[in-house]
Amino acid sequence: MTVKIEVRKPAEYAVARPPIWCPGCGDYGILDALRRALAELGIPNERVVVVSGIGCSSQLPHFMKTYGIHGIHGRALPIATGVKLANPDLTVIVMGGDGDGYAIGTNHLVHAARRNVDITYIVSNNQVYGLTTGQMAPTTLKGVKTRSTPYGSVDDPVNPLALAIASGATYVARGFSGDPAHLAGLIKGGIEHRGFALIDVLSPCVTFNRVNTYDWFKARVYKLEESGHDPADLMQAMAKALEWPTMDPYGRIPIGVIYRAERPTYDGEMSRLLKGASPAASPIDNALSEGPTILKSFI
Amino acid sequence: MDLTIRLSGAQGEGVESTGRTVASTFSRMGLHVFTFRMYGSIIKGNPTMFYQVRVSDRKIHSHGPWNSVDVLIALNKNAFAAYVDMARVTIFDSADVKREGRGLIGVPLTEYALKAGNRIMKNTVAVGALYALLGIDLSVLEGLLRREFGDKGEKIVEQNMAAAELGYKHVEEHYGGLNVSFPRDSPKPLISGAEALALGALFSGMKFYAAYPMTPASPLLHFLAEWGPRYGVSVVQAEDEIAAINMAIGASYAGVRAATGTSGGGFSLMHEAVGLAAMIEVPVVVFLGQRGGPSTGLPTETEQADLLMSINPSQGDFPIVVLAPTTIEDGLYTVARAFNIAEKYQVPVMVLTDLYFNESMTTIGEVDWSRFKVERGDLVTSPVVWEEYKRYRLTETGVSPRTVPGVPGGMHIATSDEHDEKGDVITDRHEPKVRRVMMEKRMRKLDYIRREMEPPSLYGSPGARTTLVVWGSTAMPVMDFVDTSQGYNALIFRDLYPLPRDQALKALSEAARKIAVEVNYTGQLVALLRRELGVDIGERVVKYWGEPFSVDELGELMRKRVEAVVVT
Ligand SMILES: Cc1ncc(C[n+]2csc(CCOP(=O)(O)OP(=O)(O)O)c2C)c(N)n1
Ligand code: SF4
Repeated sequence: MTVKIEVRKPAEYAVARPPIWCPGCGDYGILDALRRALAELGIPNERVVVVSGIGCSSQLPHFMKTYGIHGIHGRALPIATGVKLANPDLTVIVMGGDGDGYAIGTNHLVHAARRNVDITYIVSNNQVYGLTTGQMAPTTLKGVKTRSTPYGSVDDPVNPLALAIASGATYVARGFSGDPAHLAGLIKGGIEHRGFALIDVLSPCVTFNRVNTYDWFKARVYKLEESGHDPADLMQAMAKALEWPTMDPYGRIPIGVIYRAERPTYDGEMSRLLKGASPAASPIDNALSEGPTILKSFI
Repeated sequence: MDLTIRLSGAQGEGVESTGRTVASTFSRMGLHVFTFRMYGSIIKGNPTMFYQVRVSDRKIHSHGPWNSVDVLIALNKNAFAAYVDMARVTIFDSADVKREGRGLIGVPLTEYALKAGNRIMKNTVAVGALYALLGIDLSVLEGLLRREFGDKGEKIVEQNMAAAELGYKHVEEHYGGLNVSFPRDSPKPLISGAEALALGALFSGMKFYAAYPMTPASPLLHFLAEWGPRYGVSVVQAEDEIAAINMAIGASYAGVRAATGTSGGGFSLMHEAVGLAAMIEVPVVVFLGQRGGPSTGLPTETEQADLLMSINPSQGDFPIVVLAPTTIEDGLYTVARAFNIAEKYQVPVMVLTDLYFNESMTTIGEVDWSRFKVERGDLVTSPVVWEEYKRYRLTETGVSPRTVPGVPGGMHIATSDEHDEKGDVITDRHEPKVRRVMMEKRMRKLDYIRREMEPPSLYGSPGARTTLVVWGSTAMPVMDFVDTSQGYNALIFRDLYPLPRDQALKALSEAARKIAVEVNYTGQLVALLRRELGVDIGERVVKYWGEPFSVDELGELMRKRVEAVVVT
């Protein structure tokens, strides 16, 4: 039996400044879980880069004592891809909202998943646009009234987990910010996993979403690891991914690891092309010193 | 000796590769070469695309004349009809056109190609004919064919040589040669503008390049995809231009020199991220190869109409630098400066070229390697004390010491929101004082960058009656025009933003009569000079129909201008 040693404390990843979210916001649970996961893995602060887009949830890097980029709306994944490719030794975490990742940034989600770049993407899925004060999100359930859908949304919601699996993500999970301990396990698993990990987190917006509340979720979530689900089985995984919201938007909601697979990572493949070199570690003057020889091939 | 050779035929029939063979013939003989191609946004068809090769025994800067050529190689009837009247000598397939007369050299190109083994070698027959016409030994061609087809087997090389010999003998027997002689020198490298930029990036230590294909920037991606991995460069074909530039910014944040490349349409998509780079003070280099706009515009034709856009992309006020290489050789060195300025000042730097620049090829002389000195600026690589470290510390120059991930204690969040010295967002409250000092800090960098900007260079003799004011690639034909005409010089702008005001003003005030020459409709340099210096260049010559200026055309335009003045 191995004894688990908590190498570091979650507080070691915290800054003095308290988060600026509304009291009760689901994002507190995500922040807590992320710090716990990093502490359990004992990753040095300076080796962690937390990248985000724009939104309430994208403020998260500011509350981390790590490196990070609080970028522009929807572009966290390409920024993070650049960080990871430049220096594959870094642990790269991406954080964003459902609008950030599943609306304006959807294109990047599909491509980051297909490339299987080794980053961990946490989406705060509050089914509403928080920062811009309560408009419909791509995850808003049909019929729900928001400030931009006063008669009830006529859009069907996106299914991010099914989309991620179909796109080639190799670690797809759903967590609930009302259960940070469980969520920390999912995030830790995502970081340890080699490849693109999406962790969609049910994260209530207590200010603008009066439908999908903590109680609403508590009444519906159930844990996959307690229900005999095999995340290695693609077809089972797809079925679980489609269960909510696609099959029944008001039905039960599975949380836990939905899908997991092994596939070469993008950064790994790139490193193979570079014969083991990484951009950050290769000498800045290596091409210059061969300049005259390189030019000869243009004769 | 100064010859122009135009090869014309249907797109997709090897006009370009044949043109390259001709160009390489001369560069291997140590002559000065410049090439240009005119083609359409179509893969096969367009019967009269052309590839022009100019060769000279002295340094040349452009493709030469537009309305007259020394030798035309017409690979089909349409090409013959389109250009025969402007050519001194035309080589054509005698099966296509039944015409005889002075300067008409009919060669049974197709027949000979079939005889040598395959009709696709008809272009090689024409090259053989050209060799005879110019009195060049076929052994030069053999080396080139071996390089081009060597990996396809010796048989292909032999067949092509046989085809060339048939063309050669035909001209030798029936027509004889032109009276030209070529001095020999040691072989010169022949590179395109895009290759100059990409080589410049490699030599500057760029380690990350992400791009989405778009003419005329794609050749950078192709070149770097092949060469980059040998030098530790990650090259990514992104899902769109937005991703491309954001990846480059991420890579740069992680500590490596990074760039992206595109044309106007892609750059329009990148605007928001350019502002991000400026705001989080992460260096990034953007290669913008202009083509005819607006919208999809003229995808395969040149223009210089993105100058103002490249100075003012994205919302808000922020520092940005725009450099427009003036010759292909200059492209190599300008890129080195671009990376240095980007890192020293932690700003986005635009390298602004166009299709004419990127796709033209030229021979280059000895490279001055000392101009590739890497200057990384205030980059902190050893541990710092986290409690004390301020990523955006206020300094005199506006540049703050920059740590990169992996450096203990240097942790910080680079944010696109307005922030304080530590990098914390201030946008949850009204902080006018912090906003002011941070804005001033970023903008202050421009004052220091300005001191590094080079003033416009004067080409030709000082005191000429007329000064042509140009920027970027238009310098190339204009330099050739100045070299071959009386009474003109040129003021050439490469460093376009920020302008070194005093020096630029002085240079402009020393010019007598000024005429701006630009490949756009509105005269964007004229607008810039008015805006930045308050100088009005009253006269301008512009074109916006997809062609660069040519030396003969400039002569005519200037003659008309001079007459116009005499009349008034
Ligand atoms: C290009 C662009 N478009 C729009 C916005 C405005 N905007 C900021 S955050 C946001 C959506 C926020 O919703 P979400 O991503 O779900 O994050 P949340 O605030 O709910 O955590 C929008 C539309 C922006 N910043 N940039
Ligand atoms: S508005 Fe909603 S998402 Fe934003 S901080 Fe408040 S509770 Fe959280």
